[in-house]
Amino acid sequence: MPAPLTSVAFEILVTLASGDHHGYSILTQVRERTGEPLRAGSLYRAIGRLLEDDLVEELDERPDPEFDDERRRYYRLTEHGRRVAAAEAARLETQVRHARAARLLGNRRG
Amino acid sequence: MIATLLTRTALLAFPRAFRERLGRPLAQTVLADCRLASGRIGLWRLATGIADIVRAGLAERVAARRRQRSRRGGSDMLWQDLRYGARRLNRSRSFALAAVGTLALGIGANTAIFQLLDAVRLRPLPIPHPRELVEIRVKNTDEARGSFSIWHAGATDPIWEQVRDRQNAFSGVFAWSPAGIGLGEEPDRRWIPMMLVSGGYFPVLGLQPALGRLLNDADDTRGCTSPAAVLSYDFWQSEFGGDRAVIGRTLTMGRVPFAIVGVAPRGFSGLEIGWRFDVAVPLCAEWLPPGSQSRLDASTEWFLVVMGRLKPGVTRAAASARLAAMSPAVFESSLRPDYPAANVSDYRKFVLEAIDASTGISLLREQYAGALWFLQATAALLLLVGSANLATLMLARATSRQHEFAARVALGAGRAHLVRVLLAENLLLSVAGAALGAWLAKAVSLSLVTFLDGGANALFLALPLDWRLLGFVSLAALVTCVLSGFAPAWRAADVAPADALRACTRGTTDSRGRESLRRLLVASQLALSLLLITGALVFGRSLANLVRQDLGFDPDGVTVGFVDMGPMNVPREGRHAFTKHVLDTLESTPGVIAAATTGVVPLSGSAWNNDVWLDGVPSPVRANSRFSDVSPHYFKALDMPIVAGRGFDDRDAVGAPGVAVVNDAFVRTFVPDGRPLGRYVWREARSNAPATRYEIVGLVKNAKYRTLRETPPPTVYLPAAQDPEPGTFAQMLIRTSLPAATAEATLKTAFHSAGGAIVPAFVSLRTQIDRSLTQDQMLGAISGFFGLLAIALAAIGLYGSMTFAVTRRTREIGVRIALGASREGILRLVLREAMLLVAAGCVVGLALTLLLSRYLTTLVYAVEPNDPVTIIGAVLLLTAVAAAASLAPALRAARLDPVVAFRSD
Repeated sequence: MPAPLTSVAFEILVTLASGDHHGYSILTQVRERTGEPLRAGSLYRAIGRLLEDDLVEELDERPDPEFDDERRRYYRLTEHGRRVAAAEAARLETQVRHARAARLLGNRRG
Repeated sequence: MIATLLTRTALLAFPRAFRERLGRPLAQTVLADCRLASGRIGLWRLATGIADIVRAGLAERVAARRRQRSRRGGSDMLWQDLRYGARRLNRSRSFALAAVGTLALGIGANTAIFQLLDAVRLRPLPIPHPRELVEIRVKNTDEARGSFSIWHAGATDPIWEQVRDRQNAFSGVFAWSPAGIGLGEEPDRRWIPMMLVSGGYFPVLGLQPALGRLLNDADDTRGCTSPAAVLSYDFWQSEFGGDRAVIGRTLTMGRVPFAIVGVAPRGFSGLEIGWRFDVAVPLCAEWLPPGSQSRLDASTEWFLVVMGRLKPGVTRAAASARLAAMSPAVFESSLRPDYPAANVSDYRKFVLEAIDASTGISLLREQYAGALWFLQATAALLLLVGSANLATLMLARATSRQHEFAARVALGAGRAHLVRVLLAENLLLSVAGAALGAWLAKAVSLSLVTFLDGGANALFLALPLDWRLLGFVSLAALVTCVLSGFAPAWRAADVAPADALRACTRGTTDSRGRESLRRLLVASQLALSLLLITGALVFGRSLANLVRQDLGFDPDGVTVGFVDMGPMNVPREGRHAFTKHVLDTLESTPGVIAAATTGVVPLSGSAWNNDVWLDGVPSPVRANSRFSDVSPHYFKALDMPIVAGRGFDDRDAVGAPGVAVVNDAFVRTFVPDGRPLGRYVWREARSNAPATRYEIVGLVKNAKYRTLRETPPPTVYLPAAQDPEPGTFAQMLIRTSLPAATAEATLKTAFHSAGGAIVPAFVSLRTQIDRSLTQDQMLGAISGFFGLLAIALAAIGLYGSMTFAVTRRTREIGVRIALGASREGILRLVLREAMLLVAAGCVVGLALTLLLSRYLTTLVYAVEPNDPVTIIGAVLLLTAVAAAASLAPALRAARLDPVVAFRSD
């Protein structure tokens, strides 16, 4: 049985859900979204696990036009990875709903 | 550039597999992160980036190793425990050797006896569907009259033919008879085991030939003159070297040529366990060689074993019922005129039954199964003692590892983990012991077979190394491992980390459970040893009683000779004269004291019975008496004094009035006034003669007749010279003053000079009697050996245990001595504990002995298993050995120097 998703792994999956990205791109997006100072080492350890568990796949190296055009390795969400990410999101949503019901969070109106 | 180099170097912190896959993109990402900033900030980012790579790399390494271990799981841990156990055992090699030796002896003994028991008792026959095989026999053979030429005869030929033609419960039936036959011509003639089989034998058993074909119904037709023969696989190998051209060759047996048509399958040695056939010939060849008396149409010749394969769906009980239903018709039709008229009404009432034959038939089984079960139980007890002994030592070893265990517990190991670590050592010892034991067992079981055979070389047992044996050995190893390891491991693993770490001194309080386990183990060893010693003493006394008893005659110095005069073609009228000539020649040989013939060699196991009653007495006692027909010097040859009247002499010949010599037991049973001389005794009618009257002319003392265990039975001796139909086979008893080594050669020469053209077989009467003691000698020797081993193990256990106790109490004893306790007091203190253990062991052992001894009653002779002398002897022996074993540790305690004792920690 694979271990549960770590939060870093989940963030990576969320990032890749919008399209293929290379490592640095994932790093910057996650940092922006969460405001947490994610480290490259941690990122790649998580990518390693995701590759092993077949949640993401490696694409061929290709240049990044938005960057310095250096050749980079891109990652893509697998079908399996998409389902796992969706399931994890649903689980989190349920937890949040429960937390809200327990009045741990303010009810949003509208 | 430098940044790239540094990053690459930092990547070395990652495991290689990870580095090769994700190292480059990771480095790129870190560098990209730095390049966006410049100057100091860039440098700072590079430094933290590199530190991050190293940190993540090390973390990845740890995680990778953890994943790997969890994937390999428990087996990896077990392997680790085993390696650790092996290292520890290697450090105390003498302990390991002693433990493996103990277990090897215990497991070896058990395996060897199991192998025999399996061979004679448990293993089904090597045929398809052995469970369907049953034996069909006359239920009440005790009332059957006639000649029983094989021990297990269940039918005559007329009965077999009726069963064959009438039965409807079996898919097939067949008959067979084991026999011996002379192979080849004189003087190279030798006896080989042969069996007569009806045509259905091989087809019904469902056997396939290894070569050629097997016998079938076409081979077995009445009056066959050129019969076929099938060789056993082993005989084919040993006699013909497995030559495939053997088919069609001729085998001369009993001076008749047999055509070899095939070879029986490998591993099939017949249906009697303990016996094997070399050659199988059809039943129709029974009358061969020409001139011998056929047994085929006689109702008094019981020589066949009849068997059948149950039809599908027919149970053995149903088959028995059907056989019983057809019995009246079978016995009505099978009755032949030779059957004694007086017994015909009994014959008509015979009933057939079907008994299980899935494991074959076996004389060996009837004789030895009880003894083998007993030995198996004894061996199991020995293994228990050995395991308890090992457990004692393991407990001591484990207890001395307190600090290690405390450390392990402190680091998070649970009790189960400690038990596993400890059991690993036991597992190693048990497996090594079992391997060595299995190897030992091979040799032991072969020598047991030789022992049972008693030098007669007639016993054949297949003892293959098969899955049954491997299963038994593995089970024995597992049981010893659990018995010797679990309790000590469980006890020893009961440590509280803080307690044990604090307890840097020996002998603290938490060992109460361990102490009681140690005492329990030692006491149980002593108890089981007492049981084994008592058994050994009982069998020793039984054997001594058997050997030392008064036989009524003196067997020492007597040689038994067997002569078949058939090939010499002495005509019937001349046989008495020829026998007398041979005996006279033998007696004129220097060194020969007396020579005689006898119909029954005493204590050979054969017997001859007839009902007898006294003439001229109102309502005489009619009962069975033993008989033997003997030549005049029989009583002299056996050194049996004639108490009253006379023995036989040359007057007593064919045509002279019939005379008899009787023994004391006969007089007590049949002669009311105790004065036999001059009275007449009637002997019941036989198949070849009506009831006959003999005058009692002499009285001899009682002598054992058939077995050593029986009380001498009433016996009537008749003069052999009065037999109107002397046979060609003679048994001679020759008393000589010659040394055993030369007696045989001298007698052979004398026999030849008397004109004997054939080679007689000789055996000393003492040897023959000893052969009948095989079971008693086996029981005596093995139980004695087991008893000694058990007592030695118990002594070692007690010694080890007391030494350990004294070592643990060094400080306490030191204090006692320092406070003025006398040396004698200390000695008493230690010995008292030892003797308490011995007393407890004896009480439990006695209870067990009294409980179990009744199972020995059938195996022993003239000794009560509960005999107080034996039991007291066993207790004294055990106490003496135990005292000796505990004296050394006690003395060591008494000589303790208190100063040294205080420093000992």
